[in-house]
Amino acid sequence: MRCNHCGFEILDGSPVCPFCKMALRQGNTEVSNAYPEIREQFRRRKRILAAVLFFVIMVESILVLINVFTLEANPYPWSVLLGGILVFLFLCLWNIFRVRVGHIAKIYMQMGLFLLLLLFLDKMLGKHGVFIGYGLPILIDSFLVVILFCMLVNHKNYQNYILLQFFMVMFSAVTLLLMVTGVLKNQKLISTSLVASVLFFLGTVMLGHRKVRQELKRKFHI
Amino acid sequence: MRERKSRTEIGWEKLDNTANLFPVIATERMTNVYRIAFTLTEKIIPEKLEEALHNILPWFDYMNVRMRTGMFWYYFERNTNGAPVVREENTFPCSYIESRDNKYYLFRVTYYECRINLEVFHVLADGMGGINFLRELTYEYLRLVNPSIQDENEGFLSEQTSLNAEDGYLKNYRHPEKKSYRKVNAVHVTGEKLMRGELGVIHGYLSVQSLKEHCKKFNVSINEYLTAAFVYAIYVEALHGMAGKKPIVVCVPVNLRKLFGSVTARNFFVMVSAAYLPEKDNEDFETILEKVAESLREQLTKEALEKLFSYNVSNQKNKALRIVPLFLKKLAIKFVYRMSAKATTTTITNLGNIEIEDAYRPYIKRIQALLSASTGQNMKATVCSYGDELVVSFSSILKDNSVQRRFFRKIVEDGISVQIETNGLWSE
Repeated sequence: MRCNHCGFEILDGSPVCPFCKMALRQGNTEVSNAYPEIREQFRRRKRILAAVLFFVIMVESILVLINVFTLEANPYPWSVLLGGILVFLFLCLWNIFRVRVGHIAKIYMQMGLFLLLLLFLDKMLGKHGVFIGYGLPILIDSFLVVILFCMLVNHKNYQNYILLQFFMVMFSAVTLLLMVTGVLKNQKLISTSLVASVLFFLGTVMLGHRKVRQELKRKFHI
Repeated sequence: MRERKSRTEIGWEKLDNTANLFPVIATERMTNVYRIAFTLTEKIIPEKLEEALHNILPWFDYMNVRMRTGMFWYYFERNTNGAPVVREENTFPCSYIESRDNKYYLFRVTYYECRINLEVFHVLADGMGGINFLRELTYEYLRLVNPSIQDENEGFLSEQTSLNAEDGYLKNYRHPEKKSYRKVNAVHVTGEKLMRGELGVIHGYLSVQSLKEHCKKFNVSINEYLTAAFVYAIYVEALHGMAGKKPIVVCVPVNLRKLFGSVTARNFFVMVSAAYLPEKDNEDFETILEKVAESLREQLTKEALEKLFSYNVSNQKNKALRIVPLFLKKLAIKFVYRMSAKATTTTITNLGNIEIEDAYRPYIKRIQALLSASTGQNMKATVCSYGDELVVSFSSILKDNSVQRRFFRKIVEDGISVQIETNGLWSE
């Protein structure tokens, strides 16, 4: 079909010229589209995501309103606390179900989210380091268990978790430093998590032998 | 196809110099994925295409990889997950390659009607590397579908195919003079955008012979002519033919292989910029053509090109920068990229004439290529030719297509007929 206005022959069977939008005379020969029709399918996926987010915002807005109306009876901003927990849960779900990252990146992200939750609870409940002091070493130990589980399930590629273990050791060292400087107080838990993470890392390196050392070489190549 | 001997150890290799940029800046909006497509004379048989991919992939080490994250750099590791699944095209062209959905591969092979699409994340290879792989894939597919094809190589890889995966930049690097990245802000083609994730495509088909004859009259190459036509279209439609303080800067990737005697299939190109500063109103096309051609020719010497990529390599070799952790490097690279993106209007890439062996020519009807949009470059053009047909493909995230229209109209006004095909986004 020819667009007389633009002077081009249009091959893709569209009823109007894509440039000037003049109607095109339809020929007798059948023309097949060069590209599949996917625009509507693409838009439907985006609507579902928007709906979930809107639901979360709506729930929190209702909670804030109730809190404001009952402020005289109960001056504590519990809606902010619940809102923070709600956001944490939403982000956990988002992290678990997001497609674009692997499970190791999700583990890092989950650790970060738990850390933020501990700091938030400390602040909101006025506990001044109690949640962090107990929560951090328990968090480290829990994630060591998660890493061990992942290594057993994915035993063919167990070396992929070595960098994660390395970060656990660093993380434990930081908590030890915080304990030494008096910021954190739970000596037993912190020492246990440090020893566990170091033993786990050393065990993997020494028993993993060449495979693990090659993985470390790749990860740290400069 | 001869089978490659299986290897027990999982090899690894570093990214080439240019490739270090792409994983840092790639997002859903700026995918850094390009597409090369071969349209055949018959409908694609998916099972045969998948078999062809399964047969040839083990030979192509530079494609048969997954990307991993190190402390200081990204790196590649051989992918042991078997070939990626071949699917019917069901997304917009050059969409983000989610490696986790793709057996950790950084390329995808799709088909639609008679067309085989290869979409490659630029971290793996440039256009020549992509063509290298798709050509061999198509040959293998055609051999499976048409056993009667008389192939000189008796079903093994073609002589045109390179399996070389060296880092051409590191190999040809020389100690650079001091330089910095471009700082002058360029004109940007802006306007209402299509929905996020959508990409509008316009292909223009013209005769190579007609175009060559026309370019001879002006004593310019096809590349210079098309670049000037693109600049002209932006000048007329985006600047309304008026003078301005900002230049129109078109990035033109230059293939370095012939200049440096390399046959690498990885990235080995450098960007030169054709700059045109509109100093007068209603400048004519011939003046723009002269200025653009001059701007390009000045930069297309071996020494000038060497300087360009040597600066990038020197940054990679700098000991102080090498030990910076990757997450900090990423921030710095993103920052530098965003600054230099302001200094660019658009890109036009020319893959040149794509050679196909005589035995397979009767089965391949057309070859096309596309680039994804990027920061500040809402529209890009790709040029390639096969036989006497030259295809100029525009990819754009803008609703308005007046620049593309002006471009093709200029060519028609110059006496060259153009056939147009789109992906339907502007026909609704």
